[in-house]
Amino acid sequence: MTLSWRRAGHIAIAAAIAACAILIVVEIQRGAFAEGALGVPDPCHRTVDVETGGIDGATQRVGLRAIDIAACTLGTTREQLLTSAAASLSESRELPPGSETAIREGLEQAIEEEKDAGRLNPVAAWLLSQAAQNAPVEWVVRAVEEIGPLVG
Amino acid sequence: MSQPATAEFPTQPLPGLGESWSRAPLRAALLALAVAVAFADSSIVVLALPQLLGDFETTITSVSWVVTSYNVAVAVLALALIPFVRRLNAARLTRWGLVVFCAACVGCSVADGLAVLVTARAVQGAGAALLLAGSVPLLGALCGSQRRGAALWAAAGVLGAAVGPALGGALTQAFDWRAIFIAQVPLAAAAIAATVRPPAAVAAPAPEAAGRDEARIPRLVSGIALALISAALVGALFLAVVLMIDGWGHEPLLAAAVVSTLPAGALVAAPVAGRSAPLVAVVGGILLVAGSLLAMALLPEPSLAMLGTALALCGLGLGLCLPALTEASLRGPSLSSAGTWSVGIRHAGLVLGLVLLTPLLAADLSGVEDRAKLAGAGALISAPLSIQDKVAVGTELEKAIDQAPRGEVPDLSAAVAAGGDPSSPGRVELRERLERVISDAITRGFRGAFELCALLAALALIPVAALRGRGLR
Repeated sequence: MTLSWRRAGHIAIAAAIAACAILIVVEIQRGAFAEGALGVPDPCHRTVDVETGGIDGATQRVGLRAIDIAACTLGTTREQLLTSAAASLSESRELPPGSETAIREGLEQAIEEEKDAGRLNPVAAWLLSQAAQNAPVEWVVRAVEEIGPLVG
Repeated sequence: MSQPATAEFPTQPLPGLGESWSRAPLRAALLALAVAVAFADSSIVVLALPQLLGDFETTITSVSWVVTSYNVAVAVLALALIPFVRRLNAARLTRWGLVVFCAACVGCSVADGLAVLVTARAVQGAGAALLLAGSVPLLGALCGSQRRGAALWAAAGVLGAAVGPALGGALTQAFDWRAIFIAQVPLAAAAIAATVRPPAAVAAPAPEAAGRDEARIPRLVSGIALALISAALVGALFLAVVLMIDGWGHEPLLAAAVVSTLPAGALVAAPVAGRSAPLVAVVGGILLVAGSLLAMALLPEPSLAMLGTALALCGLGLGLCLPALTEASLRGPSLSSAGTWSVGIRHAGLVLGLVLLTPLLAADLSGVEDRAKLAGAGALISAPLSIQDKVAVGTELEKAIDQAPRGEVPDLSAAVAAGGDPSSPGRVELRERLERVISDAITRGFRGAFELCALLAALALIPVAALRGRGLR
């Protein structure tokens, strides 16, 4: 009788340990090691999906695509590049090395893609490309907000 | 309750044992209740910390001393008492401890400043140390057997430690944090009545032990295991509660309900522990405590169901391993000295846990704060809003984050509503995504601290291995 009670106790302990192991497995399956909402997508494989339409939508599309291209070139993320660019502007600091060139090239490529997709007329595309190549860096960084009226 | 495998409790008659002492079962119950309350006080104010933070307008570090001061006082005084306690009158020691404890409870309940409260808590801890040290032999006398007394003392300790946060949370939510201390006064006062007019033999000092103390190594080793498990318990008793209230924003009463799965698990484990071989119960219990803390570390999302399940499993583990380890730590020629050692080392473990975990948690939360800011910026950039709205919301979000008191989650609702209709689908989606970012960041910010707790619990297997065949079978 004592032995069977003891065996029952040991079985109960083993069952509790198994339940604990199952809980851990369930947690891992539900994304314990994933980034969750903290995950930031890879800019090299990111598609720009802007839900607002018109000039606002086009401006956001060009701006975000440009930043993604620049971030991919620099090996960083859209969010990191934007926050460091914003910090540079607000604190009158220089952008991190290579950022200026990458942003200019990103803007040029994004404008080209908009033109190829028929969402940007060639004249506006040429003007924007010139601005992206030659404008002061502060202007380029602010371009996301400025290019709206030129998109036609 | 599991039975010790070796008869290493004091062999000489305990003072007072065998003598009639009127209403002994009632007195034993009252004293055991006071022991449970003294153990519960290690963690009873955890759920009240947010309210204390607001009432005293102080910092998290300062308010955490309301918890730490009690545990430091118990650990220091109990460890300092060890060389003398066997020569002291157990009933008088317990009575004085209860008087100090009771007076300090009144002091805590009327404290008008944090310094007063922390001081009163330290005094309360000193009273608890005297009470816990004296109550082990006293319960033995009341129960008619040292073993039964030690088992009752150990069970009261497990139940008190496990039930502390839930009890404190319920009292805080129903009344006020002061209710936690007011409620303890009649319990301590009733226990004082249980210690008056003991038989003359109880009042006599315990006789000096003759011969070699063969239980010394098992007592030392089981004490180390108890300290490690107590340090790990900071995860279940403190971190889980702070995560639910401050991290996930739940009410103290709901958090108390979730945490109550821990004492429920400990109660369920009691008969299982009694039917199992002590070594199996202890090893199984430690594995459960470590595993459940790992499960808390790996929470993939803010989930009360998963956290509650992990806490219940932790309670099962505690109910399995603590009674046998406590009984092993109480063996030796002097129950008074062994009991005081057990009290001191357990509270020293709690203090060790608090000391190790507080800076780790602060550093981890600071690390995820940067990741949360980036993910939040990403959520804002990708939100289905116009540029103008994004700029307005972004500016207000920055202000909300800057203006939030340190250690508190910023209120994003007003910021997300800036410059537009807060119920528009785009803003609702953005608010929900930002809230997910924050809750995921906080949940992951606690991961390192929970993992350290799991490691501390797992380390307790090392001293337990040394107990095999010496104190546990």
